[in-house]
Amino acid sequence: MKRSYREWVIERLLIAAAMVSVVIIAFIIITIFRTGLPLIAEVGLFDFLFGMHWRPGHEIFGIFPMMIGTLLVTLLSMLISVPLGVLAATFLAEVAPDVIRNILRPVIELLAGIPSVVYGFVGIMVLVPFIRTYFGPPGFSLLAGSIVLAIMALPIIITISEDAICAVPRSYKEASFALGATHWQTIKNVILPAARSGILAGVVLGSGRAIGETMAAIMVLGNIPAIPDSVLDPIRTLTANIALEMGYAPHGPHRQALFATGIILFVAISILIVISNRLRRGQQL
Amino acid sequence: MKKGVLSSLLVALLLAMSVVAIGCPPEEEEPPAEDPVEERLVVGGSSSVYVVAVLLAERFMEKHPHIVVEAHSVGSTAGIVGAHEGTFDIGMSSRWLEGDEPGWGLEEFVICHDAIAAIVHPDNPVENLTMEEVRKIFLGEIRNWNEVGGKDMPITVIIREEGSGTRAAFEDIVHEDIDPVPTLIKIGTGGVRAAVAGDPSAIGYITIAALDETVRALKIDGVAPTAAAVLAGEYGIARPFLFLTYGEPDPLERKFIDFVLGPEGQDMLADEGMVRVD
Repeated sequence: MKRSYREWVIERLLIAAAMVSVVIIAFIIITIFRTGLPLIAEVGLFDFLFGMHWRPGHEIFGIFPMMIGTLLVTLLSMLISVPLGVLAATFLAEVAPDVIRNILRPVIELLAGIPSVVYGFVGIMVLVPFIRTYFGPPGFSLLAGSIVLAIMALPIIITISEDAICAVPRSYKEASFALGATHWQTIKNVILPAARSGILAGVVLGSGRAIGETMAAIMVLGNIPAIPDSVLDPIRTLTANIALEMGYAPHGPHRQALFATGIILFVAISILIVISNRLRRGQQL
Repeated sequence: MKKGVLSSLLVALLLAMSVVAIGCPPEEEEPPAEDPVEERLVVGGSSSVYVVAVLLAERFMEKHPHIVVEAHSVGSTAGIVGAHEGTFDIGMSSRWLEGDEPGWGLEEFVICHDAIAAIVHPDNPVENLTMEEVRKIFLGEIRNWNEVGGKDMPITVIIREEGSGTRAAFEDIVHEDIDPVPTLIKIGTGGVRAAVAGDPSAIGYITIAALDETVRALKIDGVAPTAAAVLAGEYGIARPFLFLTYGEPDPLERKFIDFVLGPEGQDMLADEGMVRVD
């Protein structure tokens, strides 16, 4: 009797602990939606999403340039980090001798642990002057941001891809060898295709990192809310938009507009996480 | 089972709340042992005023060891709202109150007047611009330094973020609130100065209190941005630095304001290049 009571209490406590995060998320969702939705309703969803101008001083709120900015910087950073990340993961899982693997793994984990402001700082001090000198001013640009975000997304892509590659059943590989395939042919034709959905999940999570990153983005992107003509033009991302102006928008429609920006981000990230989870479970989209 | 989840959700709610409660302990607990009472004064607002406020606060704390003055650089608008909502005992602003702000019951103290300098990289050969040229540069009508007697390179126009007092004053005075066409947007006075210091083709604007050897201030219509020039009415890009309290200042706030408005505070402000008000 006593024992079953204790079991009951412990079980409830465990569920409650898990529920804390649910409750906190619920609070956050309620807050951003309650503050942001009235503004979207007032401006109109279409004008808010596709408005070309962001002039909070004149109460003109169009986030299209920032959506394009976020999209471009995410795509470009994935273009850099996906090939690098998948190849590195293949090396780690299939080719690397134990010694090298035991050195590389902690290094990659370290890469994930470095605070984003440090990446941004290195970007400002090294990358931005480099781009300014060799490609032309201003240096703060889509290109600089994409490179920094690509490096930041690498650890996620590598770790998840490596897990996916390691999870490919040994028998696949053995069968391929038995048919006379070389190691590279096996990797290319058997292992990578078999690990495809796991690798894609890593890529999707990596893009989530790029979309959500704020500090490093503000530091190297230049923050102009306009659609860029080239990779050397500055852009502003959705997250940067909130962080840049929150101190100056403590009340009124400007604040609501920043929360509304948060809603768009929240929806985008939610979609990515759902996609990533389905991929990892190996389901079709 | 459903009931179980529901009750767990309730417990979770309580847990979450207790986390919040633990997160913010009441502030006035345990006054420090030595000095009888430690008093705390929180000032915050404009990043331009902040530059001089930290110096004033330091001197003030030397004279009154039992008072701690905490300064925050969050921008003029946040300073004005903070003073109103009680986040700051004293709010700092580098622009006059506007819109519905004058009706919020804030007491204004002009602590000095400031000039805003247009700054360029020290290697930039351009020394002087007319007000019209500055206006055209910030509105994107002049895009290359060679149009104003400099080298052949595109101008990197750096402005402050939305809501900055410096930006509001600069736009109001230089281009009458027409939207600027910037190349980059930087956070805070320091952000603009660092960006200009790193880019030979850049132009930006900061308070003259924050000028240092990493950037060079331009003359406007032949006049260098100095307190004397502002007083004489020759340098046009000037604005007030304000302290704001909600209602009448309390004795502690009054003490700091009196220090800043007194001879010592005014001397310090003058040393920083500001125009004194006494």
